[in-house]
Amino acid sequence: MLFSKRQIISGISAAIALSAFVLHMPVRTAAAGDAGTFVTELKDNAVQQLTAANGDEALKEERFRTLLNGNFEVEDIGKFVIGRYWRRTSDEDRKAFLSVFEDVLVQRFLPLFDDYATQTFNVEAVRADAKRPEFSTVVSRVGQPTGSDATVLWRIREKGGAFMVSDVKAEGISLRITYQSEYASFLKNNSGDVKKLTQLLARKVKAGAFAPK
Amino acid sequence: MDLKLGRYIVISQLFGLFFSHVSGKALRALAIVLMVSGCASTSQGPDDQWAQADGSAGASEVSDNDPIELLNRFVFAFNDAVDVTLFQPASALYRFVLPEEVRDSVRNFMRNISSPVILANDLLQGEWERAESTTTRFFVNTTIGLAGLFDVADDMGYEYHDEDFGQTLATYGTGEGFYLVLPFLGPSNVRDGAGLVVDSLLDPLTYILSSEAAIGRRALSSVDTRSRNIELVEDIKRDSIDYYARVRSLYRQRRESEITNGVEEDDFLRPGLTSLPRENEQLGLLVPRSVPLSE
Repeated sequence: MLFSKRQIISGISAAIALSAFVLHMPVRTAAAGDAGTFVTELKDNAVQQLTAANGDEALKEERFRTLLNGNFEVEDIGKFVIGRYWRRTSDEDRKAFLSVFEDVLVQRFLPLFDDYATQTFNVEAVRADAKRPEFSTVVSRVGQPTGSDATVLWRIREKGGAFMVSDVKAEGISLRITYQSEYASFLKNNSGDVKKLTQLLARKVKAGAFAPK
Repeated sequence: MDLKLGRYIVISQLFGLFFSHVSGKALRALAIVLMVSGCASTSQGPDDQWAQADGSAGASEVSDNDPIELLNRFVFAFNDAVDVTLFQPASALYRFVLPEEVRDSVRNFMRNISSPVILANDLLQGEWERAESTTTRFFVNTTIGLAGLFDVADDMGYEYHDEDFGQTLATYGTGEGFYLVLPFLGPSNVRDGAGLVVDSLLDPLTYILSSEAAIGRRALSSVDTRSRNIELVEDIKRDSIDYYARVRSLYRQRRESEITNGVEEDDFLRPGLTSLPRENEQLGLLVPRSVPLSE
């Protein structure tokens, strides 16, 4: 006999155990390093494009805007930060808000990606969300010019094999939650008028208020 | 959010903690408030908030949990006025006059004399390794580090971390209670406010220092912390459309992150990568560990 009965049984149970393990997290394994790779590539791509713009601010902004729209859930984030007021807002006002909100994000994040050119940036771990398999958290550490590192977490959503940044959390502070609580407070005190919020944000964008100095 | 923004919740430390001599009466009152409201509320992990943030948990908004907002806003405005007229200029002057080495020694000294409180909370949380680290730091820095003026222990691999009774309560499962802005002390909540009182009772210096010395200690510590955040506070003020709401949100998120160390128990590592971030890395940031941002 080629295999003893015992060997066959243990072989089969090993196969069952292995398949149970594999079946338990098939998608997760496939998505595994990919979310981390996605973040690394996004950062490399941004740095390369921004550096190649050679200080041409308009070109930089144009390039970053394309990157942002292609890799961040801009509309979804925009909807979220308006919260319950979204439903009561007209299509026209929604569109106007989303457009200004995109400007806010460009102004806020372009300088950060710009800085990545001179900073160390390492993906340290990719964590799976146990409850929501489409989400991963990419843990990155960014070397600061001051010497100490900052932890930046990227919440990545996978949809049909493509990855999008759903939220960014630096040192525990989430983009979505911070903007939402602030906008909600403003809207509550301004009878839920998204138009007013849009106007105020537009003024601030014009003044360059969102760019970290 | 951006890196600098997340770095500190400045305002909470703007004015330092003037809780040097707390009467038993105030403590009892706070303990009752804590029991009534603190325990009744819920505590959320960072990823629970994230689940809300991406809408996958069904809820669409993170609650403000701020039933006394009107009063809080009033106190907040008062604190801001004190900051603008007193602490901000004092901090700018402090930073201008003293060289970085001296300012770092001020911070080292302040951290060293806080060691007993940190140690007590390490122990109360069952964090034995951190307790050992705090103890080593205290002995090394007090002796070789010349009464704590130099952080020699850090070079030996014993990194500073902060700990307070508010966090200890949170690890026991106490909810945060509602949001509270304390005069001079800044953003807090019922749990952390009570934590401040307990921390001051845990601090041997509370019983040793005279009132003047205690206030001097807090004031210097506040000015030092504030001096490391001048640009950051300006940034936050400039880019927020509701400064009060922004700070409230930042405070809550930072505390959540400190309490859970930014790692959820439910999470598991994606295959291919082998290490979780160091347990400690999101802690100790309330008081900045880096050199001043402006330099």
